[in-house]
Amino acid sequence: MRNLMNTDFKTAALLGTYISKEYARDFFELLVNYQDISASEAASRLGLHIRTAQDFLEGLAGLDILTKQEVYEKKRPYFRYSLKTHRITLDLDLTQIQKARSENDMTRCIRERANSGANFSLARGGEYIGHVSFWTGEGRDRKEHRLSLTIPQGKFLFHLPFPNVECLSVNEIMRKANLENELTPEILDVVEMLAQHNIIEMQ
Amino acid sequence: MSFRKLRPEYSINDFIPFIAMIFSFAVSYVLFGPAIAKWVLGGAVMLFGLYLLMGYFRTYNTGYLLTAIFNIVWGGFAWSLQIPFPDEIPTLTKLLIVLLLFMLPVLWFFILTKRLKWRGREIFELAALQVEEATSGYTSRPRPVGKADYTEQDLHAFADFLSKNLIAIAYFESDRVIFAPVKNSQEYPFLLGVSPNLNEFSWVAFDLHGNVSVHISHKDYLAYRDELSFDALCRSLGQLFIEFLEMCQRGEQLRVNERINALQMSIFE
Repeated sequence: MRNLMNTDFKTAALLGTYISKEYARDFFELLVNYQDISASEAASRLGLHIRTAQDFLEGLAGLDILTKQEVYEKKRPYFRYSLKTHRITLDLDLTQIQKARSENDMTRCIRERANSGANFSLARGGEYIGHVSFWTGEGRDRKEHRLSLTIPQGKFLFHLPFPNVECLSVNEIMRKANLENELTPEILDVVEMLAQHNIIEMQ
Repeated sequence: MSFRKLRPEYSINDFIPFIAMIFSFAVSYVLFGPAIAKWVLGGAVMLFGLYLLMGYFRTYNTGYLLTAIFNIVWGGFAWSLQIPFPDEIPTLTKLLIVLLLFMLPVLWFFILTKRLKWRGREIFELAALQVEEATSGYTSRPRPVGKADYTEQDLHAFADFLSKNLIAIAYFESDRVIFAPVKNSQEYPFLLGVSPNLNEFSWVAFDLHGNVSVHISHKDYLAYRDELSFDALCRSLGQLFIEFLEMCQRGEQLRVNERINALQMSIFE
């Protein structure tokens, strides 16, 4: 069994790309039934361009799913590919991409930056912010971004201190907004995002 | 009036209906003669009367009802005129003249005692009384100003009181009531029932869980002479409405009017 244990996101995405090819199933059918196969044999069998077949096989070999062996036909070298395993398991550990948080993130004092230029729109019902619009870039490259917020994020921003007033810690604002601690990652995510765009200032 | 925190506002909005009436009368007089012009003038005045009647049904303010009737009678008077003028004035015209002469002093009484004046400017002035200057901290976000103790019925009674006294217009949403203080000459969209954009006007919202939040529009913030602490201004406006609500709950509506009148703003301010 070929187990892509602790696969990083990039490798998983690459495997996904190969598997999603229209001819992938037919290709794997060849690979699982043949002892080994060359790119030209696979291409002629599946009606593909040799380059397409070669890229596919090279890609899978790069992911360590196929074994690649150099052989010679008279003096001309070429590669033959064989499956290393008859079962592929994809195990993607999402905690690897979870942002690491420290207690400092929660005690950091924040408030809205004065003249940030952001426009906060209330959600229907008016108890929280529905989305934030802001501009980035200069001149002709200037673009408007509209950031739709989750309800907890909207409630958090509803209680964010105004510009030029005493700032509050993320903890305090979450308490004011009646938000559970489990929501901390998504709250910190929006705080960091708005801080990057100079809408929130941190102290 | 330099002691005011608000800049003086010079608006011709109040005169637009009269200018439109005179203009339509003048144009129709020149193009079609006096016989047609009287119908145009009467029609325009009656139309304005109907708008005022809409205002009455939005606010239940007696002044609006009176001015609506006055305009409708005036329009009727214009229509009743016979051209060329006969030697003997028709009875209907006489009756309408008497009605107009009777209503005119009452109307002036309402105007001079500010019963026909929208009190939004006074509200913003009251809110700013204790607010200090600070570097601009404007934000389009509403500010939660705290909690208050009230029932849904209290909010309905409060909304009736504020609109009847031309202090604020209420918008009822599924779980909150929004009160928008209306300044004089800026009442038209509120009375015509144009769907409000919450970002474009100032409001104080009371939700059904007792939470009070305030939003002050950029336009209203810029109406102050100085850069006031925006946070404190929002808090003060919210507190003012909470105080007014508490007075209404205690049956002391008179005190609300007293506080507003204590500013002694003229009918033109």
